[in-house]
Amino acid sequence: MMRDPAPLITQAHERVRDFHGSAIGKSKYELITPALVIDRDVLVGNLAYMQSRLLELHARLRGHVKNHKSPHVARLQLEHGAFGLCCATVWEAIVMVRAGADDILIANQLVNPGKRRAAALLAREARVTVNVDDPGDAAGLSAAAVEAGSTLGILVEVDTGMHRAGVDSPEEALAVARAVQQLPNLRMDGLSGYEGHCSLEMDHDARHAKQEAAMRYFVEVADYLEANGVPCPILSAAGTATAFWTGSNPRITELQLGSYAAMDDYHYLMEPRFHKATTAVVTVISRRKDRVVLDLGKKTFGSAEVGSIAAHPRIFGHEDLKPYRFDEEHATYEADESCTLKVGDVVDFHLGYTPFAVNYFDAYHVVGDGVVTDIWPIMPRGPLHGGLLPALEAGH
Amino acid sequence: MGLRDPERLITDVHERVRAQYAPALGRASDELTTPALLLDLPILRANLELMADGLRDVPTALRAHVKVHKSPHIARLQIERGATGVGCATVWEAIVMARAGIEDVFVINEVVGDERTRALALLAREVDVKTAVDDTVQVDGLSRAAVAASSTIGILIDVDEGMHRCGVASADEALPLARHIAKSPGLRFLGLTGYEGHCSLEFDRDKRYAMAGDAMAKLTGIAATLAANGLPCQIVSAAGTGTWEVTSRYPGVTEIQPGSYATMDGHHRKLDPRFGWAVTVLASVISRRPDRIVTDAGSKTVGASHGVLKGWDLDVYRFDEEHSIFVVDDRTSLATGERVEILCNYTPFAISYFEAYHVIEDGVVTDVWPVMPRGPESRWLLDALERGE
Repeated sequence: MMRDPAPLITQAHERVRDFHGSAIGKSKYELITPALVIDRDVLVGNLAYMQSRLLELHARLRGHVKNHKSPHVARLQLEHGAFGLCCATVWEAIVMVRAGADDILIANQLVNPGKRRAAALLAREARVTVNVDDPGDAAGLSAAAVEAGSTLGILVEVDTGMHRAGVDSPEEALAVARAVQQLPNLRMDGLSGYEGHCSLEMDHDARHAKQEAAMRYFVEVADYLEANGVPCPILSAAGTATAFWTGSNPRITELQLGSYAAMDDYHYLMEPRFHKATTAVVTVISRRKDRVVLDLGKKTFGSAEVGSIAAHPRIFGHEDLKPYRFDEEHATYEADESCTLKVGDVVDFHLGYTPFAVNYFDAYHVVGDGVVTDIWPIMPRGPLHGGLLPALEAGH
Repeated sequence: MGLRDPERLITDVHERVRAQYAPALGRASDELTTPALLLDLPILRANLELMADGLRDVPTALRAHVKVHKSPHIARLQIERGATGVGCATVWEAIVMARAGIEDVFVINEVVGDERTRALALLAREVDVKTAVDDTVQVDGLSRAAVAASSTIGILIDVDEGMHRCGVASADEALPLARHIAKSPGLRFLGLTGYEGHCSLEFDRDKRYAMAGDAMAKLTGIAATLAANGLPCQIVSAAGTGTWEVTSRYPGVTEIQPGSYATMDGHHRKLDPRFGWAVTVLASVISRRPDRIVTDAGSKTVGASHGVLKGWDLDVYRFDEEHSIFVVDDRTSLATGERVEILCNYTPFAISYFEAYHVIEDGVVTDVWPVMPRGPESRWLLDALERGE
């Protein structure tokens, strides 16, 4: 189900159209650079492909939004087979409910009192589910939900090999689940077990082996809970690099992938059936004998590494140029005299890892056939709540 | 150059972030919603004082670089403590700083593209605007924009002293470029700029200072060649926080352009530990496992260069987008729900992700200051400039 977007979203859309709207109708190469560009046709192609594959998969799709932070992309995900959305932060969850979603998983621990309160208030309006790996955190969520008069769904997070948050054993999972069951205003829904470590494995077969091991363990934990009288109707897992394998596991009920929509170089290496919808447009600002310098750097595309793996951004048509160094506002590539790039050239740029770049920008320039057709806001921007919490407390 | 009152562009945003984070005012920093960007104002002021002291006996001017903090408020404090102007990495930062009341702004970067040159030329009608070039293509674009705006832009030739980014490599390249600038309408040739950024990657002080000396010999040598050819350099600008002291004392250098000395971070503390850690990221422990803790500040919060925990000697296990993970054992008492402060290895990446600082004095939040401009692309600032706002 999808409601109409609330004023929080429509006003932000109007604001970025006001800020950047003079670009509409122009070629993307006429933009002020660096600009973040999303090709709507490629995006919809990715969403439609995923939707078509869902017919053969057992699990349902819960589209992750942390990769794009776009209410507009999220609505398209919901129109293309996703039954709900997945978020990394409670601020993303508020934005996505305001965008019209009615079923959100915050696949993360909240812990901080302000964040627990935000989730509990949001649960008065939509189905909100949160990950937990600690009985004390569950008690804090319960208290917040009691105060707000709402019910929070809970998934016990299981560490399936990623070594971030998550319980370490079936016994610990059972203990946390039982604690959740006994707490008021919490609904023990099942388990969450994103196998993110598999996405750091570039080798296809090795990745598949890791994915199988992770999901075998995940299902064992679920079996143990059910054998001990704790039903687990929801088992949520998967990322873009493992979605089709994990989605074929008959026990997994929902998939929480996100990069399939906007994509980037990093995910394209692992899953080339999805195409790069999000790129940047940049300008050559200096041409030396042995190098070219572009007007975007780490304050534009973020880190050039994911974990310890290089996710080096590259210039379209000049993919062979070797990075010399990435600075805050500059990307410098080695380029000898055979390279035709010159000062003032405006070029397309492959993003290494889209989520880092998206976090720096206000808005996407939406393009079709290379022409800007709309401006979509990026929401929320940055780590702070940006006024979302006081607005929620005030009832809007 | 003085300091005017900040304009609406700044005060409106300040009021907005103060309203958004009003519940935080008066609170202890460990009661905040995390992650939050903390600015310890007394430490910041002490850093500015230390820099002013260090330049007391030399004629070299201080041009405070603002890309590090992107804060109109901090920039104003820098001017009040003796900086003659600011350095910026982008034209959008320059617009913000002019609106903050600063009358001398230098975009220490190559400005290419019609909108960006127009922004600079429009701004030059209001305040003293300078920028860097290394190519006649940039010069011609800036000249056209300045003529169209009926303004004058000050131009410094960017010299590559070993950093290998932008910049001309020799006097042979600089001289024809300076002549080209001198005869370009709307532009005024002012001198040379040459950030010795490669030196800030060398942590050994003696080696670093020797490298800076070599770099300054090249920079001032080119200035001498230009002067001998009738193109005297009124300004020779260089240095960062890692080389400010040695470069400020190099004969022929007229101004230094450090920025990190104000806010500091792990990288710059290794270069000059006399400046204190004024900016940190407050986080919460959101998961405690037997062998690790997980906080709610990841690489989408502290940025590409990550960080360490203040007061805890813990190895980094991994930074994910929304999580930082540190290795612990049974002796580490940190539990789920506890607050920790992350000392960023490189503050500018963190600041670019945040919309505001929580200003801390004696452990209590006393104000909320906006980060401006946010993000790489700021067409709205150009539109505001064109509307005369």
